[in-house]
Amino acid sequence: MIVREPESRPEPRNFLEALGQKVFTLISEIGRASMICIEGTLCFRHLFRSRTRHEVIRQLHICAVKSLPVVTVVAFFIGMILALQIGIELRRYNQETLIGPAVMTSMLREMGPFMSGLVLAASVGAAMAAQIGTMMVNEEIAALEIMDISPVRFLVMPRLAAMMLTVPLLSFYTCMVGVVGGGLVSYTQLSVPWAVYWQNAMDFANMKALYVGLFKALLFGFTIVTVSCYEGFRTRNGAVGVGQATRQSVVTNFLVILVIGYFVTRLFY
Amino acid sequence: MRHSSVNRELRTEFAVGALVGLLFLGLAIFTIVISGKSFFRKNVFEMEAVLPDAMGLRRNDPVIAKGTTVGTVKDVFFATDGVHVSAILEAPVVFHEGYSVKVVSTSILGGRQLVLFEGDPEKPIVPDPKKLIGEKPADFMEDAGAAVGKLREFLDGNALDDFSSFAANLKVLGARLENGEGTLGKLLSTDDELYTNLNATVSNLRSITDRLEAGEGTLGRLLSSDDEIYTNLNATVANLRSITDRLEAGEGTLGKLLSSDDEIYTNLNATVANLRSITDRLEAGEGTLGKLLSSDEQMYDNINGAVTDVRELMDDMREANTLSTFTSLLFSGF
Repeated sequence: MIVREPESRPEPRNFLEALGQKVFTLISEIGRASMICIEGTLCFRHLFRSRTRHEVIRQLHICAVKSLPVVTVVAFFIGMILALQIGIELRRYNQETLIGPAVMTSMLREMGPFMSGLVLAASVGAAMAAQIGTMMVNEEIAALEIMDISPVRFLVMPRLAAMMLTVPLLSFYTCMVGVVGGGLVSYTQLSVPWAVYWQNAMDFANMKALYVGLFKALLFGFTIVTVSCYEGFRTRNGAVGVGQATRQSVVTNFLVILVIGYFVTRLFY
Repeated sequence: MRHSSVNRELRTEFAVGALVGLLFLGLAIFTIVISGKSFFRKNVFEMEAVLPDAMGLRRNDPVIAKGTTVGTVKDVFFATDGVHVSAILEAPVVFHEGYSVKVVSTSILGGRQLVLFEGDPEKPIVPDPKKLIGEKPADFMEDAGAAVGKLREFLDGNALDDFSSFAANLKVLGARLENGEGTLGKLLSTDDELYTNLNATVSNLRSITDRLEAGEGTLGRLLSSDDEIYTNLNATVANLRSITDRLEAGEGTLGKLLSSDDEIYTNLNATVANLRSITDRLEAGEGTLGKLLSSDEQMYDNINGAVTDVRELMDDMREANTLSTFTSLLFSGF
């Protein structure tokens, strides 16, 4: 059940009791969010039904197509900044030609998944939390449950499917756009020929970096949908609650993306 | 209304499909490119070498021949006889005897490449390029370690003591310079006496050079553009040359004296011999002159007596006729 009665807990009598309640609440929230994620994943068996397919495509349009301009700008400038900063340092050692490998490697391993994840968390994730939160305060979710329609299957699964597909693809797109931006800076600011830049970048690109980055992006997709939908489902107190849920989803998404990113990197390197 | 909604849905589906399709295509192409495979590659050649050490060579590392990339490493695997490295070459590399296959670092920051040297083209071709024997790789870090080891060995010897001694000497030298000892110390000291002297010397030198430049004094005249002295000197040298030429030709008395003709010498020698004979005879008291020169005083006494007699005779005659004597004396002189 998504819609629940508000939990009533006794007022903590001391600091330890308050801390215990917070820890208990945190663990419960993590568990509930994980349950939503697992349930949504289990609902993938309904993915290719006509109504669900249309919803997935609509979500894909929101996640991928509408996010594309923002992702492009962010990726391009991230690549330019990386190339400039790395190039300035490498120029001290007359090694500007290594800008390409540095930009390519950092974009594939970290910056591509991170940037696409953060942009989607801030735009699409916040929109998800706001939309589901509004549905919660309008009791639309309760109505779905009354009609025996699973809110997870109806709302979470299409978003999850769309995001799992979108984030890795946008991560790769971010990498390529970032490398192009880095090449532009290398050519205009650091006088590295485009061919040299691209050849060196491709020489240092490797499958492991690519696929670890894609895997990371996939996890970010799961995280964004799970956190955003969870924050939406726990929305209370009308419009104010929707705003709080939106803000909380963005903050939590950012934190979780960073933490997961570190541990995945630590796992593979 | 329904038609519009369907159209919008179709547009959405098309946009999503196009984007996802393009991104998947891009991802696929990128994966193929970085995996080092090409579906359009033609005329590939394979080679395999056994290396004693692969030094971290990996798949898709470049294969270099004559400074250009001719292929990529296909596989690296360990075996009992060494590390087998197979590579795909895009150009036909023909190996001759004396070839070499070795792994080198692409830069100090890392990266490896397989470098091929085809060998001397004049020598026979290696029949099977899949059984090449590689060389031990050149490792920068190993070389650097060896260099550091040698340096440490050098320092462990007397070098450190020598250096300490040198440093101590340098310290003493520095202290002496600080105290203004020695010429260099004086030069470095705050005492400007040396500077004053040097300045005065330089001033004097400048004055001298100014005078020389102005052509004053003998040296100045010598250095001046006036070539009178040179002309005179030249004429003098010409005269000297003329004289020496004449001397050489045996002209004049001095020339004859210097000439190889020994007639004068012979005459002079004979003359000296005659003189010696005469002086020997004089010494022996021979002849009138010898007797005059001899220690025999009889001649002297006779002459002395004769002179005394003549004087007495003259006195007698003067007393007899003073005027006639005077006249005769006066005119007898003429």
